Amino acid sequence: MSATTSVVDRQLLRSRTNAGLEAGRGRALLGMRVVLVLIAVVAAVSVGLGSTSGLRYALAMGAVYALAALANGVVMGGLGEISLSTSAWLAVGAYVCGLALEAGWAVGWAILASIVVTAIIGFVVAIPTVRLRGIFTALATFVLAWAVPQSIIYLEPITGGSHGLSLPTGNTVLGLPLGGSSPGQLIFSYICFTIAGLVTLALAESRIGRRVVWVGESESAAAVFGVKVTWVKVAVWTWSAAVAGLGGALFALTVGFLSPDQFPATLGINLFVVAVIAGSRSIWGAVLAGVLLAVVPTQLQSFIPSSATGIIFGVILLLALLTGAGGLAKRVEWLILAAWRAVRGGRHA
Amino acid sequence: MEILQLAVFGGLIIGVVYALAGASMVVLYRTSGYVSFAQGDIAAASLFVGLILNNMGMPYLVVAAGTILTGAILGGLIGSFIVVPLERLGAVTAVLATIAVGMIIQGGEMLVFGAEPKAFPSAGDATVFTLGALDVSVADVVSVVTCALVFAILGLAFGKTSTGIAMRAVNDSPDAAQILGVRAAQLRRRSWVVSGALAGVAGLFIAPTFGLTPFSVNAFLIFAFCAVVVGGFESIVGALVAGIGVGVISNLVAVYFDVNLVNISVYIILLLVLLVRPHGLFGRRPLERV
Repeated sequence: MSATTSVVDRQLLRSRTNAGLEAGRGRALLGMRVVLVLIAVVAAVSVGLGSTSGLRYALAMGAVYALAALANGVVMGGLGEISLSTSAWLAVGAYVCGLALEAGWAVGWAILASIVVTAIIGFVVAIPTVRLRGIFTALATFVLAWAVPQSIIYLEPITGGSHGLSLPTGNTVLGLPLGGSSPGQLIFSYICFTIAGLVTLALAESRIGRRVVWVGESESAAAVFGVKVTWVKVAVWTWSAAVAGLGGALFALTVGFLSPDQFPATLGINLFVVAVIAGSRSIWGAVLAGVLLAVVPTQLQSFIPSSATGIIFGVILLLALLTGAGGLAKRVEWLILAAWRAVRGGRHA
Repeated sequence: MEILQLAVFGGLIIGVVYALAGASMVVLYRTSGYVSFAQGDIAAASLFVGLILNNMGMPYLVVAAGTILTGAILGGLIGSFIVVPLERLGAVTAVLATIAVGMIIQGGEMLVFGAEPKAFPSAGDATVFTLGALDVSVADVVSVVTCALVFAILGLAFGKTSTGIAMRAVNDSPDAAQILGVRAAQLRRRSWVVSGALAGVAGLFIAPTFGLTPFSVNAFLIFAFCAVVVGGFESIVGALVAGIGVGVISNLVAVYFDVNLVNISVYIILLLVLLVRPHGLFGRRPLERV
């Protein structure tokens, strides 16, 4: 009797983990996911600390892009919508942080201001955006990504326009000097990512996350069960904007200089593409995506000019689509799970 | 008054180009139900081929024909071998594939031609007549006439020919179309050929004014998107009217407010139309069965 139950239990667990693998959430895989996030972050930081300042700077930018990829993944993975405007949210976050620093705010408050302002603007823009679907969402966000850099030029009295905005140097957090390729910036950026990532993971596991999955699977079914579809979607977009706002603040701190052409619409497309390649439903996949986007163009410069790295990302994306592989992160999780099952299965036999 | 005339007539002429680029989108959307983010890159690649022909000393007509032909071939290849086969995985995957293709083309152009803007020949810079305060050049006349021809042909083809009606059927009801013996995949591949050619045509009128770089044609994508969204994705006439409308409005914004407000005003128009009339000013509301 008990043997049967245990078989049923194992079957149940198996199907749950499989579903969890697909959905990017679920208790059964939570432990593995947290560990993977920590491994990815520690790996990025320790490689960065032990390498040249060029690579360390690229990896610090990787944390910025990882937050942007996470923001993208929240929308793509949660709602199945294409968001091409993450570059716009990065820009808003970066400029808010830069202006706050210029006004003499402490780093912590400046970052908080970035998150709050980006979230508020994201919330306002989300209210009309969530009424769109599919390619219409893609088009609207794409046009937004075009409009924001130009609007920054228009707001020249505040933002410095196309001349750019130089930020005060010598920023510190808890005594760690920030900026550029400093080890402090690298560590701080990845700590910020880890916090944002784990909170996102916790939200995905919560009742809110379950509602998001329902809405993403079928809006009408979710509505029938009393889920307020519109507000769930607005909440997802707002959270996405807030995460990207944090990324923007780190962008400002790392680069130390802001100009509108740092946030072209092509950046929004690139961010979306790497997020899809790495796996839009995975937090540690976002680290992978960010590092890909930040490191590949600079490190392959001697083989292929950084302006042409689109070829590499384009080919990888096409291969991923043609083989129907889904995200890289899902593949890796699947491999880990398979290995773990093999080990456990061996023990049972 | 003079400034107003310049803005309106200038907007009309650039709007015609938006409409042409929009037509390239509409042809795809009618058969497939998604848009391509690669059209700007297809146009740019075709224009680079045209530029090579031009540098070989070919007359303008050959350059133009070469550009359009390359657009058709590129569109056909991309559609047949990449995007149409991926459609079975859903419209989002197909859109992703067009983004990937666009990135590859753009990267390739950067490798081969570099980022510096190159001069592209126009159909003729001589002034034909003046319209109010605006000098209308040969190229402007050619673009308006071409646009009128293209839209007349497309309107007839969609409305009257069996191919055009079959294209609509494929998007409206794929199963019913299949039962009636419509070859959906073949039609979609053909619409990619037409769409690529139209992208090339639109590019011919963009490149002389704005210079040819791997990115310059892409910047027109947002106006083309806006034109088709405002006009209604289904409607050829809508793309024409909305393209011209977007051209005139963005010119007025640039003249009376600020050049740097153009993109955000385009965004606001787009959002407003999507909210008030989600299927565009000329689109049909699709039947939704629950």
